[in-house]
Amino acid sequence: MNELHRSAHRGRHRLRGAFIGGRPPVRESALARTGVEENMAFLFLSYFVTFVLVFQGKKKLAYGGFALSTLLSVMMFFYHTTSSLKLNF
Amino acid sequence: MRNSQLLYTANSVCVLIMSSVLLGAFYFQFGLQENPCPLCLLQRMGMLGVIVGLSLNTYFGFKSEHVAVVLISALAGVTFSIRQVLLHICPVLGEPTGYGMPILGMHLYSWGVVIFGASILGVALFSFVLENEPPETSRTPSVFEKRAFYFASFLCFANIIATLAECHLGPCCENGPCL
Repeated sequence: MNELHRSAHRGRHRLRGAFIGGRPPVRESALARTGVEENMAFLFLSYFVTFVLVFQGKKKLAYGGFALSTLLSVMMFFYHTTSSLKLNF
Repeated sequence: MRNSQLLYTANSVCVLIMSSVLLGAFYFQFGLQENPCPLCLLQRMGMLGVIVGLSLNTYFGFKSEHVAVVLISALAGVTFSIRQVLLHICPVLGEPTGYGMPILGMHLYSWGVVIFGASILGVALFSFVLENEPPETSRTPSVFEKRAFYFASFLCFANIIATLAECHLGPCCENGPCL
């Protein structure tokens, strides 16, 4: 990974939406601005929480947990396609 | 209960099949020292989503909502897999074809397409024989069903630890965390 990519990642909050690497600016949602969709381990944690909710018999919350987990993984997928980091493999 | 115990056992067998795929991915990661790519991790999430849908059947009885959970997860997962197949479908001269080691002639992401496709087909076939349980039904799973669920939950937890170790608190780059 070259220095441009590294520095782009370090300052992602500052540089996000800027014109990096020839990519057009991407409009972000409020959830995306928190950066949670970039954390792979957090995504697995959200699935694990869903498992715990199923085990505890909290069906409605389990549906919510599943919806959040799926939404975050889809957001991570789109982050991969637009990120200046080399994540597309 | 409107559905027979045999159907619930078959549901848990499906949980174990999906779990065995995740276990195979761990073999590649730790046994063959092949770090998973970012899209591979997303495909694992799709499989976990399918397992969540099947586990809802285990604890709350068969319902169309749970079938929808399986279908949504399988569709998300197959999207991730197809994306990766398309990225590697055109070989570059002088570079190895595909990403990672193939198994039985196909790369893991190609198997991902097959597995998610099989999940969609499987749940469609299941829908022919299932009857919706009444709302607010809660059931006590058998020992086998519970063990299958615990095994899948353990694999999900193991994925948290493995991803945290590989990528720390961020996205996964080619050689571990994106520093």
